[in-house]
Amino acid sequence: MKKFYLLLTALLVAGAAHANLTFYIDGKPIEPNTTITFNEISKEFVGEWLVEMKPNLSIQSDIYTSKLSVTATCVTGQSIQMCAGGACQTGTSVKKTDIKVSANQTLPLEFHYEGSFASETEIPTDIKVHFEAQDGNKQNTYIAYDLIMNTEQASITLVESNAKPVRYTAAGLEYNLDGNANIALYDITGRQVLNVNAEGQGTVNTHTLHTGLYLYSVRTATGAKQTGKIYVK
Amino acid sequence: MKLNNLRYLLAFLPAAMALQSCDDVDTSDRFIETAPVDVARTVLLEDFTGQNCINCPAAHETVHALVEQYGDNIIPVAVHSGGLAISVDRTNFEYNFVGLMTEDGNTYDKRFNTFQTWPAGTVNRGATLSHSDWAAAVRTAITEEADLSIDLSAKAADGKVEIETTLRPSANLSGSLQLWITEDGITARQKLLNGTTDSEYVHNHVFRAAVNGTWGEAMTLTSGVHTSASHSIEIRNTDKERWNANNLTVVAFFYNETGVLQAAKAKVTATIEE
Repeated sequence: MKKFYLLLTALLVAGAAHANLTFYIDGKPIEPNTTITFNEISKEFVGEWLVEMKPNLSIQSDIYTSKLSVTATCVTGQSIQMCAGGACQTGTSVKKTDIKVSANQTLPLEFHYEGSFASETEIPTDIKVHFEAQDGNKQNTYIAYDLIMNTEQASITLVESNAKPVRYTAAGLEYNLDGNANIALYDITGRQVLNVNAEGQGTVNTHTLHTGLYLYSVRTATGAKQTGKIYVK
Repeated sequence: MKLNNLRYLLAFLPAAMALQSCDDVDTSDRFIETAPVDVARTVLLEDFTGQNCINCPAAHETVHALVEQYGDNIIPVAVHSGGLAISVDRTNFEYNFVGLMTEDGNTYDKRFNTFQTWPAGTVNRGATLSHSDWAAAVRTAITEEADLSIDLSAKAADGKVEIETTLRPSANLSGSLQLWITEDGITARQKLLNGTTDSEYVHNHVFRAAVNGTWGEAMTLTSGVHTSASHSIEIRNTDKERWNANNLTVVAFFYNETGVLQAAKAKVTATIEE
């Protein structure tokens, strides 16, 4: 009988071990119950505006589990997509269950938001998503956080119809153009603060500009025009 | 605690912990050698897919491998559908933005893709399967004897596809004859696993239209009695859809509540120059 109890105790100890789960963004751990903001947006005009935001989200467990579940719910009502290594789901709330992860293996959530709009003014400003994860039905493993994808205070990548971007980075306003184009930048009062003619690839220095929101306009030699907003930090 | 009891505890604890840390080898990573298969019929594979679905190109690769293995005995159809697809109604050729999802494709997805995730598929309209399970399902289905053969021919003339179908049953059967148009070689965007968009992706076996209604036409077949039918459909050239007559295929299949009983395909013989 003693042997039986010893065996039972050993099995119970082993079975009681539970996963410690951690969410990550760009490889950095996210503190549970916090709100983080993501600002990188891609916009493309294809007769309608395609807007895409793809934060690099992942999750890790410190032990092997085959029962990991991850739920993403868009609180602001937009349709989101998550694949997490398997078939992709879409909707205002998506849940992946029975996910297998090895100990300390980073699992990309393969999450992103994509919307299409007739005009830029229809693009929502803030898209808020609530993330939850749990190992099976072990409530003591539950973690959650909120992600706000902000489309205005953004480092914006504007994708032209030939898929060549103009985007703002720490180096300035980077452009990659087919042929010649005029690039103009306006502050929020409408005052033009920058006007350059550009060709091919390069960077426009924006270091003299004050921090804040600016509107840019790229007009090509054929007369095609693309506009967008950047937030200079 | 007596020493013997401690020994038992120490013996079992590592074993229990070792079981916790075993890596699970995915079924797709295990090597299983299989014997050659005896092909007895043609199999229909419906691949529910979408241009915004980052894992769908992997399913397209699965389809490609199955076609390489089984040739004309497998008929894949890429049914663009669901929340990760782009509707044909959003197509804007001026901006090279082409959508491939049709209303009928969406209808089939809602009816047969019980997962409502993408990619997913069915073999002979059986259970919904993830693409890692298609090979095994095709292997099983392709060996099952069919009580029906289908002769099919299709040609393009005067802006239309004209289709001749003959059904040759070897048993009494009831069900529906369905005719579809599919197209190969469509260049349109597709999201990839790394999150980028390939605007020059080549889509094949794309479902374009149902020729004889969303659910086909009901038929009762008598053993030994051949049934022939003629159909036609206009080759679409609009601001939303532009079919390439040189890349069209007609897919015919007879199905009922038990699934697809037999399938056939015929490349449309185009008389129209590009």
